[in-house]
Amino acid sequence: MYPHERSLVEELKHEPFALIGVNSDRDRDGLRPRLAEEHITWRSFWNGPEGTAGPISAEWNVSGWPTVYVIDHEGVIRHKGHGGPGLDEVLRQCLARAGAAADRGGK
Amino acid sequence: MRPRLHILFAMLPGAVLAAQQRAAAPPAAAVLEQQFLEAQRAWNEALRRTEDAAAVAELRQRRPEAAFVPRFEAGAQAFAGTAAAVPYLVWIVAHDSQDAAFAAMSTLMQEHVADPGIGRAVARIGGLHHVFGPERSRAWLDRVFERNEDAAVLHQAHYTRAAMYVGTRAVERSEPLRQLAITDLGVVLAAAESDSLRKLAKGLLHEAQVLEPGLPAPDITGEDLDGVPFRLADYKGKVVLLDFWGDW
Repeated sequence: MYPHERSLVEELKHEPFALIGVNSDRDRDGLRPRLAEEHITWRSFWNGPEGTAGPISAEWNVSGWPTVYVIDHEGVIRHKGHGGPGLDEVLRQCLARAGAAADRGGK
Repeated sequence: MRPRLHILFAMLPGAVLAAQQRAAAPPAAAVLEQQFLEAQRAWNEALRRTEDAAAVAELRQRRPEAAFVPRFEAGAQAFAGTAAAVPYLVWIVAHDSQDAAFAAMSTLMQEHVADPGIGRAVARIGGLHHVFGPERSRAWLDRVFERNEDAAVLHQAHYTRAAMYVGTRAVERSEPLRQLAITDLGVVLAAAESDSLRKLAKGLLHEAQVLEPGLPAPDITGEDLDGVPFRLADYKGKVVLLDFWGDW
């Protein structure tokens, strides 16, 4: 999924958008060179030393990786899934609504 | 008395055929399953030991399921129309994810819908909706609710129906469907004997209640990969793609 994530971050760098990861690798230090290799520039929560059994994925009932959620500018969940083809369209719709809200706020 | 002799001779070929069929009877489903598990272990071991990327790709093309689907199909065919076919058909539904699963599931729903042994196949209805089609999946579940009286099968059907309407693999979402899922999961939690099914239901009920589209996202408080604390709520005002990932 890295190439898709990298291109989203690049394409949407001027939009009100943030890619936030929840990383479930047990070894946080071992991951550091991989971040550089794969150009993983986005910020991630760390799920802790228990890896996939960590507290954040447990609270979100995540049992398959990758799992993605789209949360709109008001903090409301708009989509959940495993990164299928519908994801980009949902993001576009949410960004359009966020943009419209920002325009209204500016007037 | 002579005609009787004719009858006896007339019966002989049938008796021979029956004996041949007994000799060629397929292995019991449990025996086949055991053989499959051994093949799967060997395959996993080979995958673990193989480092060359091309060899790994080739191994992945030769999953052990492919060799066993025809053997389970032969078993189902040998016992067609009887309850003995059920474990063969159920195995196919549980391990195939294309045409063979669809054919086996269709046979189970047409001929064995009341059988207490179909639980593992019912569990796959939601996960294989891309093969079965959402309409047919729904119709099959309705048929299970109508015709099957086994408590474990019905609990599985309640869980499967809920997973079609909430969670990350839902096929369709709406507020009434979310409420139906909450009711279904409540039934499983209250009465299912299987600990693993109750555990799944508990997790999915939590999703249905607080993690479905349309609901406010719960905050996350934690540390980033450099140990710096931050919160999901820090990003309010932006569209957030929350991505549960791992480098594996």
